[in-house]
Amino acid sequence: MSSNGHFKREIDALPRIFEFTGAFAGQRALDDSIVFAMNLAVEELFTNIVKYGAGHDKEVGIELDVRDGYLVIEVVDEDAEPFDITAAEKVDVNKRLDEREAGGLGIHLIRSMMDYIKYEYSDRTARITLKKRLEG
Amino acid sequence: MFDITVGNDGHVRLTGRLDATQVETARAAFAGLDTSCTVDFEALEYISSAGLGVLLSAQKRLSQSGHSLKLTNLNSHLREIFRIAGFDRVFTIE
Repeated sequence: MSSNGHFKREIDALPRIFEFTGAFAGQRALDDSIVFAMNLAVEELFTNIVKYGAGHDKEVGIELDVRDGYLVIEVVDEDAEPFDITAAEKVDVNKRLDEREAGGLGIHLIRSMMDYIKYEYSDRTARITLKKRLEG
Repeated sequence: MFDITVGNDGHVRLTGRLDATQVETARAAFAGLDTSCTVDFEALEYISSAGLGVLLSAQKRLSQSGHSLKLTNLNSHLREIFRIAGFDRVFTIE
């Protein structure tokens, strides 16, 4: 059975979100590395929504599940401007220090740590689905 | 919970979790550095891109005066994140 939560569209919701992910991780006895990746991916998606979707009141939905050997994360923003993270510009992490910029690392981390990313957008609702293969 | 301490010997110690809610605390502390420092991650459990951005900005600023941050005692999760972010190319990581 999946775990569902709804969270205020503000950075200060993160502690509650981590309580939510922590409870899910405990129930499913997830490995440390999976928990780390889950928390990171959820934070990066949520903070992007807060950053780029400010001024909207609707809460952000987060669903967590384990299905078919995968951790599944679904984040739903019901009042979103379209922004397809799968099409976001790639970050070149091989650049020299003076050429590096801090932006874009969140999406880069998600892309690197997750095995599957899907972005859907319809009627101002954005749904991002991430999956990470579980070992064993 | 997150804490950052800066010792008189230039040793910076991070504790807890550096997520987006703690970025301003981290940014203020790193902004006060004006010489090469060791940043000890032994007690840091978690970092997100917000924290990575603070580190990168600090490294860029310090490099302009010939200084740099050395990162030490990263756990395996942090080490992997830093590798993905290419930080092993722009920081000395021990």
